[in-house]
Amino acid sequence: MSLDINWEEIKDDPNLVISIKESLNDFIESIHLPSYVNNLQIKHLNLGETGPNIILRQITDPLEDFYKAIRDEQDVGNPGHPSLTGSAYQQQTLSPIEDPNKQPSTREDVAKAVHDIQCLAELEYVGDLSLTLTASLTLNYPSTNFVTLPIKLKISGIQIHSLCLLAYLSNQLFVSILCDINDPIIDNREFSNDSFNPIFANKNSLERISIIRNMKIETEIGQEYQGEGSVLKSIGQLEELLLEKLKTFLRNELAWPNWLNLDFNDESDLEEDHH
Amino acid sequence: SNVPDDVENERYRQLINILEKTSYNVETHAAESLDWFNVLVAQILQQFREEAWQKNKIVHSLNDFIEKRSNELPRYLDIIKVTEIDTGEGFPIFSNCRIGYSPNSNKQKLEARIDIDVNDRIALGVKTQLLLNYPKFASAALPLNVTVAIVRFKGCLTVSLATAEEFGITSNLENDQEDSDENKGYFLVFSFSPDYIMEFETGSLVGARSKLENIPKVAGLIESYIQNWFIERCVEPRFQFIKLPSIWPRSKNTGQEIT
Repeated sequence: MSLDINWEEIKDDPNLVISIKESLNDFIESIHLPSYVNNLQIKHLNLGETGPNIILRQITDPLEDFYKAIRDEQDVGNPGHPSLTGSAYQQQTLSPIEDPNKQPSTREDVAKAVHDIQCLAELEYVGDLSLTLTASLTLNYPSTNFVTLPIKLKISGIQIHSLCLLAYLSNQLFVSILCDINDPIIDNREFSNDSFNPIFANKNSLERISIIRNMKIETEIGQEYQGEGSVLKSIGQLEELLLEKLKTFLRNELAWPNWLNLDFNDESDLEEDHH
Repeated sequence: SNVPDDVENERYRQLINILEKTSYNVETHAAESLDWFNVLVAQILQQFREEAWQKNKIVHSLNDFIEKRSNELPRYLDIIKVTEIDTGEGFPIFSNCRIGYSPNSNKQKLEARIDIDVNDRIALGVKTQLLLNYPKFASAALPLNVTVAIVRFKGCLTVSLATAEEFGITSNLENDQEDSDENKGYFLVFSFSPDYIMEFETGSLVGARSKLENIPKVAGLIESYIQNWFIERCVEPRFQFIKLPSIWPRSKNTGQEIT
């Protein structure tokens, strides 16, 4: 362990639990579920007693990709940005309402600062995080809508051992999981900090070993249905689907070339107001 | 409208007079060694080092200073604690002193240019933590131990005399008799030319139980903070000024050798 994680504080933070639950529920709503599953939602999230173990591998300047992402974001949010050239741009900046110096200065906001920093770290998680979901299962056998039964699913036993990036620049934190520690892509390789490194260049995350090594799903159903082959078959399919979708979700949210971006700029504005 | 010209001519004539009567020709005078000055400075430095080591005074005052300025630190840095200080054993060597007109002064001003060379180890050891402030302030902390040493400084020092109005600090003090007295007389003004050399030896240890050692990025970060601190205070066009005390002989400043 390189980082002292204050897990006691994190695990019981109600706001954090609620916000993770909300984003997971948003994700679940977006899944195309088979017709026999209804009202699937997360009822309970327990972050567990044990946090991840983080070992630092390298500290460098942030990757160019993060600067580019902020610039692109600004270009989208600000149509009169200096990426416009020629007469259109000049007209814009010379209009009397606009301060001609203002727009170029937004570019400087994403200029590299000497205290920008990026850590390459090994993330090992064998904690006891658990998720409880509820749903109702509709049985269409022997006839349509034969019976609807409530079920409870519990996801636990999540194991991750991956290489991650944590980059801090322009008062924003970027978090991305690069690959599993056993991925052949990192065998015997030096981590050069540029986009040509195969870890960063390979943006096809399907070619990598899944970042979730292990995950367990258990389903509870009423006693009277436990002998029913068709019920168990439907449940088995649902479990497999959920596992697959959750892995996809994590890959899309956190696995390189995707990342989680936490922007502290608004937060520091708030704090200044308080003082 | 001839008045400014007259003032300029008068000042130029005064400087010529000074140079003539001190037998100093700025064009032809050979550069001087400052060996005598080095010995005096070394004595002052020696005294300073002895004082600094009394009761760890320098460690305490640096810690106080850093604590007062802690709100200027980036949010991902915890409070910085000074763990070690090395004030060095060597002394600066000044040499190659020459007097000339200040550039861009239209021959209104003289300055001394002096080469300075320091070969020593002046070190500072600090301890802090990198903070991860999500989801809460200090959710995770990364211990950081850094020792930074300046092992070489080589530069050209410019020294001149100036009156307060020359750097424009009198304007808002005109009504205050005491302060305007303070601003009379000469100030010693000094500055380093931008082509100075400052060499560092920086060691780092990052992490709680599994540690990373001597990371170039960490060294670069610390060194750039020191360079910026220096550039913003002492490197041309910035300069430092010191009020020169009155040297008029007074009874309260009189001493006698103890026999």
